[in-house]
Amino acid sequence: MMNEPLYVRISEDIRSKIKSGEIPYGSRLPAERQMAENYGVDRKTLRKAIALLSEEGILNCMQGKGTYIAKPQIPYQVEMLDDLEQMILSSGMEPSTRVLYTESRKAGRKYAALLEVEEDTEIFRILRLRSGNGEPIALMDSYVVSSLVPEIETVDFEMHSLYGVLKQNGIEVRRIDEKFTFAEISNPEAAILKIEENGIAFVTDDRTYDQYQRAVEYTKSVINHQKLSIDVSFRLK
Amino acid sequence: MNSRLVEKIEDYIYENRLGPGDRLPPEREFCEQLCVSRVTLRQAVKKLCEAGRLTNTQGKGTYLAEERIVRNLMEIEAAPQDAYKLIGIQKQIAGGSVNIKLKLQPRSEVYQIKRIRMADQARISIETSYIPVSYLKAVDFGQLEEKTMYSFYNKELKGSLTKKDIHISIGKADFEESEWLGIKENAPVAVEKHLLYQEKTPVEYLISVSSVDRIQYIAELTAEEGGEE
Repeated sequence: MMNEPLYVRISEDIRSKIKSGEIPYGSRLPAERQMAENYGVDRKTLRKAIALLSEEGILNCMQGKGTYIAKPQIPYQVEMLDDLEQMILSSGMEPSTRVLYTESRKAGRKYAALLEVEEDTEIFRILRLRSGNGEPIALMDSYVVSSLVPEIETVDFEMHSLYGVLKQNGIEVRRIDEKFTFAEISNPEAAILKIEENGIAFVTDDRTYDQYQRAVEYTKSVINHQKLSIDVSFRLK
Repeated sequence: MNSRLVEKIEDYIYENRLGPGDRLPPEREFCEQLCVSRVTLRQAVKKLCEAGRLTNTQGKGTYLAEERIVRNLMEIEAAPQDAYKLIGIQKQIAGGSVNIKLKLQPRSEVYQIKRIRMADQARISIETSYIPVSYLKAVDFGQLEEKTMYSFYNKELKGSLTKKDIHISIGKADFEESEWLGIKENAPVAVEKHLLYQEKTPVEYLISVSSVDRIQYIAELTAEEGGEE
């Protein structure tokens, strides 16, 4: 820590003040001169600290208007075996879920392969819109093996997360195989996600495995990339 | 939502073992086979085109698209089909954002290494690495055409690398990127920013830009012993 340049330490201090709520989202940073004085540094060092935070999208510098605390962009933290709701929560936004459609159906060729079941296995589809502070973030199309959750069609997925419901039924998420790619988005999805028509969105394909190595659910999500960036962090062995 | 029809078309592709470059049946015939109207079929085909599975050439029919190049995010060595073309290497004083990302002291020197990353001869990405001069062993220029930067670190450094952060966003191709990748200027691109760490010190900052319709990422996430925190 001692070796870190001064501007890094200042940026860490500002970062922690934003995180603790001492400096609220959307508010303006005090004037550069004043801040430099408070930290006892020259303005050049302070500017570097601010540049570091702008680079990370934490601050927004607006020419001639000062520096603002950017509204949080949600990192889609891949290393966490968490659902989107947790990610939205941990970025300080209020998550909400709308169930747009549910359906009981036979797996068929495609979902039988994805869920590693027979084609005539009963599966349950849930199409959900996840939002943060009321702004649409992701459209998630999930397919679950019905027998894993008794009376799955009566579960309120606006109140309960899918992982939560699986957990209540003794299913522990152990592994997720993820694929990310990109797709052009047209209506109705574009309108639902408030993305411009024919804009590009992230598309993720997740397959979740439980403690018995069973594939328990498959979800395809379309994500508004302006609301959620993809962040992966992993340890090297 | 015509997702059932999309699924039916995917089943058709699977059952008929269609691969990249193969053609779907002519529209009228395919409509009859699937018992749907042309309008409905077109909507479903459009969805699959947007997802990059099909390509639609005006008046020539609908074909299966090239498969995307798969990048494993958890892998730091190059995949066997990967090759690089070196397009620039220089020692320079780290500029603003590079200096900041690598948490360097002012006026520190870094290598900037620019390469095209290819897969099966196709240019997929343009990669720019920034590495503090002190971390690299003597660079063998020939090998820069084959391996990821990881291969060039000195032994001590390699053994102590601890973490990699990757941030992926969607951006627009600038002129240079569009020229190298053979796409239009301002076309959407996948922008990866990688930071490789030794303990808490970042040792490489890499920016990789790829055309969005050629690339796919994979990752396998597992719960650590003892479950989630």
